[in-house]
Amino acid sequence: MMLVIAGTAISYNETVEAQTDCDTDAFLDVSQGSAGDAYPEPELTIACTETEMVITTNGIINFEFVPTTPGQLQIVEQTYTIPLEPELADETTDIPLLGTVAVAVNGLPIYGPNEGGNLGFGDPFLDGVLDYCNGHVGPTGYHFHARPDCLFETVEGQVGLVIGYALDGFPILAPYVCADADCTETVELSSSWQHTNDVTAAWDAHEYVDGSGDLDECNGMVDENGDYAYYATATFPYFLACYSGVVSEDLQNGNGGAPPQGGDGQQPPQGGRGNGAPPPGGNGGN
Amino acid sequence: MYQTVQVILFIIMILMAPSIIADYLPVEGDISYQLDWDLNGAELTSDGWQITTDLGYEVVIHEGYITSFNASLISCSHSHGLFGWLVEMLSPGEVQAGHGGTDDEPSIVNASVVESLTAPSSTVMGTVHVTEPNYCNGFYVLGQAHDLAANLPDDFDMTGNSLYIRGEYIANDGTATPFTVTTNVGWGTQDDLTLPQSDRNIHVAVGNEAITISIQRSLATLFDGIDFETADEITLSHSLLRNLTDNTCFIVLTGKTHS
Repeated sequence: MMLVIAGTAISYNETVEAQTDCDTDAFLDVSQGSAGDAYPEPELTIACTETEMVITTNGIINFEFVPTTPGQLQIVEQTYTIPLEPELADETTDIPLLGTVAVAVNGLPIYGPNEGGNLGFGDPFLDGVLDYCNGHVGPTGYHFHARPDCLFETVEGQVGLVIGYALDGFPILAPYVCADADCTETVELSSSWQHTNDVTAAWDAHEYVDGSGDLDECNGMVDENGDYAYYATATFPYFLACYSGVVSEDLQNGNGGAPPQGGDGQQPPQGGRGNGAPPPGGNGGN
Repeated sequence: MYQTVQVILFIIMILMAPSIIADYLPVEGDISYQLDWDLNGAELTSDGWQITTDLGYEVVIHEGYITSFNASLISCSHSHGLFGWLVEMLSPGEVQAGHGGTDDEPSIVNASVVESLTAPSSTVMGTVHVTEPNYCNGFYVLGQAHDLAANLPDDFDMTGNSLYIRGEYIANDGTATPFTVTTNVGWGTQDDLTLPQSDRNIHVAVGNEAITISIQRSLATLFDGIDFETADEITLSHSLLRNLTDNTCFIVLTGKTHS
């Protein structure tokens, strides 16, 4: 049975809060924001079944729209299903070259760290083709390619702040962990993907160097409580480079939640982190 | 009677078809972009310019640069009714918004041109060769200057920056306060094409006569709505970028135009 949690804009009630596995608290009340007078109001609905969180958005952002690519912000109805109890997989799964890999807490899709073939599969963050919230419009609507800081009052130093959820169900957190037991100081986590080549294609320009950062190949780690999460790092891959969790057959076939037309050519390199073990060199959560 | 009307409509469609179809047939030609400034309202000085804003601040600019990231035109086939939709459906994948296609948008100039805001003047952005027959809108983005950007200045490192401006504002009580804004944020705009001295929206056809598009920005409105006393750095930089792009006009200087 599906429990509808919110209507046109997310809201909470006691019944919902009792559903501890349906973590709606992380999502934003998008009715408090607007893309601008010329655009429809943003809509976001969260619902939960016993096993999945169902996120439905009209694709309209809850902050000022600024075009950095041709095309207007338009309503694009999208629905994403996120496992409520994600499990680490024996092997990682490649994310699609184009298309949704995660959903931000305003309901908008998160794409991987590369552009389309017409821009040489380049890194949109480094290439400067993103707006001030690190997203832009494509044929399938607005999406993020890097951390959407504008959604939050502040991201810096925020331990446990949920930025979004990957389609395998694991959360994407702000890249900070406590440096001591009282959490009087925080440490910023770094990606283990290094910029190794000055080429356009984002995946060819970066290489995973085990132990060079705090996170595993997929850009996540297991925290001190044994919970796995991805971290929205300041550098490539920004969100996740592969799925660490068990994914549906559709995602295994390289499809995103709302794959764009025309995706072709290169794929991200085969992952093969091997198992769900935490990466070496993790220094968080101490 | 009804049959007569049908016949007349059929004849009209037959007569109009060639001109409609012509709008979608590939035609080769050049499009040139130039970056211009509307200086109205700004007073040029020996080392910059000054202006009085809509909120009553007198602003004096001593130094500044902006980076034009790219410019392009938007094909009319994106907005030309049923026939345009049919052409789109039958065409290979359209390139839009940097996704989904394998070719560059042919009208785009990825120039990354740095311009002086100290002494604003016209700058050539670039010329492209296209085969799309008709264009209805212009698109222009301010963004980060890359290493190979044109006109990188020697006196300030614009690499990675979209805007840098240094000056001072003078409040109503005569107090002068210096300010500096530096940002790497990108900001764009998409708007209709117009003719010089006209607000009427027009289309421009590719053909023998080369198309020249003037991307005209306004100095007079650059500081509109900015309350220097309360604006933080992000608000100030976003307001400047918003004012620059919101008041940008795409003016067709040469080329065959039609309504």
